[in-house]
Amino acid sequence: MVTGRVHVVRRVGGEAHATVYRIVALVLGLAIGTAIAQSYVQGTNVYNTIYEATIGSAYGATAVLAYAGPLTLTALAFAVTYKLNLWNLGAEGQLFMGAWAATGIAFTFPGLPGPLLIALMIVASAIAGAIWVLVPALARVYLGVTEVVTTLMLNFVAILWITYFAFNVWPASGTPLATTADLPERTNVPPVTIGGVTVESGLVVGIGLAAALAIGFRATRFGYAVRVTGASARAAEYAGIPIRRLQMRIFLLSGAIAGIAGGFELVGSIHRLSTDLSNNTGYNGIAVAVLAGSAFGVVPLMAIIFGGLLASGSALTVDGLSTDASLFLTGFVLLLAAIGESASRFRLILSPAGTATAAEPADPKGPGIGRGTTETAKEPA
Amino acid sequence: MTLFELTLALAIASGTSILLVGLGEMMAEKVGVLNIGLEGIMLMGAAGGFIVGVNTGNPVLALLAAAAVGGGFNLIFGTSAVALKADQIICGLALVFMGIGMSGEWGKSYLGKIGSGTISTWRVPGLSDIPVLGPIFFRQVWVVYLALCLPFLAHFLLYHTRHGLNMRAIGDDPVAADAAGIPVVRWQMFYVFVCGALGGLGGGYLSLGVIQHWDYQLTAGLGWIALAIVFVAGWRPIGLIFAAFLFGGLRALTNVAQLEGWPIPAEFLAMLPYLGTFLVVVGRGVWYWRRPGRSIAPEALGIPFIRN
Repeated sequence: MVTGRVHVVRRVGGEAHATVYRIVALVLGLAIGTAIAQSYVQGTNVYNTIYEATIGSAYGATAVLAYAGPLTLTALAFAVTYKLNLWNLGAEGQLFMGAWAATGIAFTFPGLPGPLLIALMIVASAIAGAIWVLVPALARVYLGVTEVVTTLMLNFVAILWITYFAFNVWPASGTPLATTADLPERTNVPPVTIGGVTVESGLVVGIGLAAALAIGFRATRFGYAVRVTGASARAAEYAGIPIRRLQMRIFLLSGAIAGIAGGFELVGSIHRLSTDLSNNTGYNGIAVAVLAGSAFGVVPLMAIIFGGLLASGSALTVDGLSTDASLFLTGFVLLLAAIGESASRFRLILSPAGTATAAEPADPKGPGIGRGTTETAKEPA
Repeated sequence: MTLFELTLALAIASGTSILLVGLGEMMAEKVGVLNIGLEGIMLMGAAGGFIVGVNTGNPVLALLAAAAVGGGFNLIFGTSAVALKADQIICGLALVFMGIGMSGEWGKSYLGKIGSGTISTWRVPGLSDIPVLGPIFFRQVWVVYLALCLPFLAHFLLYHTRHGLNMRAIGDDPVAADAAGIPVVRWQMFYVFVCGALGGLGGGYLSLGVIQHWDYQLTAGLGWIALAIVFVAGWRPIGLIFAAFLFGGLRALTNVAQLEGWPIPAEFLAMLPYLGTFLVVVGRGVWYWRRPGRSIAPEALGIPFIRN
């Protein structure tokens, strides 16, 4: 086998196996992760801890869903831009700026009635998130400046911005940590409790938004335009679709979704602004979106599974699993998800040494001139 | 040390580190591979190098180990993103998480230990005796001089050799390069390793030569700035030197301001490197808008190469 050559070729007939490969990647990641975790905590049974920390107890399920809420929203934010082959890697920063704006509203207008105040906070968080992606979006769409670097850089600016406000503008008394005082009680959206399991507003909104996006992208002209442009920008251009305006709208939508992720964390869950409001939620959202293949309808499900991963990692720290090890496992699952995604589009074929690549599948366009034996000798395993 | 000297020393330290890391990234990007996982690679190099340094007491061996660890770690990226065609940005992000986690795990028992003995300094004959400037610029550890030389070597390699022509061909049009007989995947894997090795060296220089101890996430975001300065420099190796020391300098300013108690809030100063790279990258776009001769990214940057 060692003497054979491995080739990567495009799958013919679309992404028929896509879901299978994503599930395989996820299961493989979780299995290896669990095995690594078990090697750390030899005294206790890892499976028991994971079961208790996720689906085995009301407390565990509550924790999983608390992770899943903001993850659903940040994953949707990423998935939206991904439909147009754009990258919003700035959900982390947009989440923080959304939370910042919501905090500002809560402290500036403390006299307003609760529901109105909450509505204003959420609107403000959406606007702040959209504004935070505005310059990278304009630069990408109209100047061709890559959004990968610009959106990333603004994440760090946002976190420092939050640190400044938490220390200096709205500081909590009696703590050396960078956190604001608690928001007025009227801004709290109480969670729903079903059979002992608490569901926060962020998850409810996330699921609703995922459904709305899934339907909206199928049923509206906007969604159609996005799908055409995502599949082929040239075809969209010929069809007269205003691509740049479409890209701008998608970026702003993405920023707004990431912004309300921050807003709902404040009103529905944490009730005070600090740099701990997000623990890589923006980046983990990217992992969730990739695992879901950017399908809006699948995002909440994947967010819950990923939430289970985070909750298990957190529970296992009590038994001796380090936070470093769980961070490593997060990265590992993300890597496998990316490979699974690739496996749904490409496949490996192994041809024994000395033979031509007769196994190469027919290209839909037919074999090109010059494809064949001379090419096969070059690509290494 | 006076304040001025301290600022410059810090600027040179940060600048050297991101120059090495950024140069590795630039070489990988020249062959079309975008790797955003530099923060993870640097940390792996910093941890691996420090561990070897403490155990052997030999800084040269330690720096070599840092480069080897960085290069080896980046082959995880190479395997998934180059060989298996997985998405480069997602794989890079995964590398950051894995690098932070694994280096934290490795370094746990080395927290608080003293480093390996110092990396030897080199006095530039004659110039090092100039008052004030001499000790600052011409009595540095040899890694600094190495970092300053490498971009010139890279420039020569890229623009004056057939090897460099091939590299740029791969980065701009891998299909054409493939047709011309260049083994694209093998070249990309090689430069992924180079990127990792220089990234690891940049990290090892921090833990061994600058801070001289191991600390959790000691790079503190330098890997992200190293990524950005490649864009700031417009993929030109010599421009990278200026970008590296400019943003290394901005970073040093933050530390100095904190020490001196300047009235500007520390958070705003700490934003400067990130906001600065952001503004320069966007500013470049504005400057080159509808202007000819824009030297922009390699055409196929970030796109996995598939033959057919």
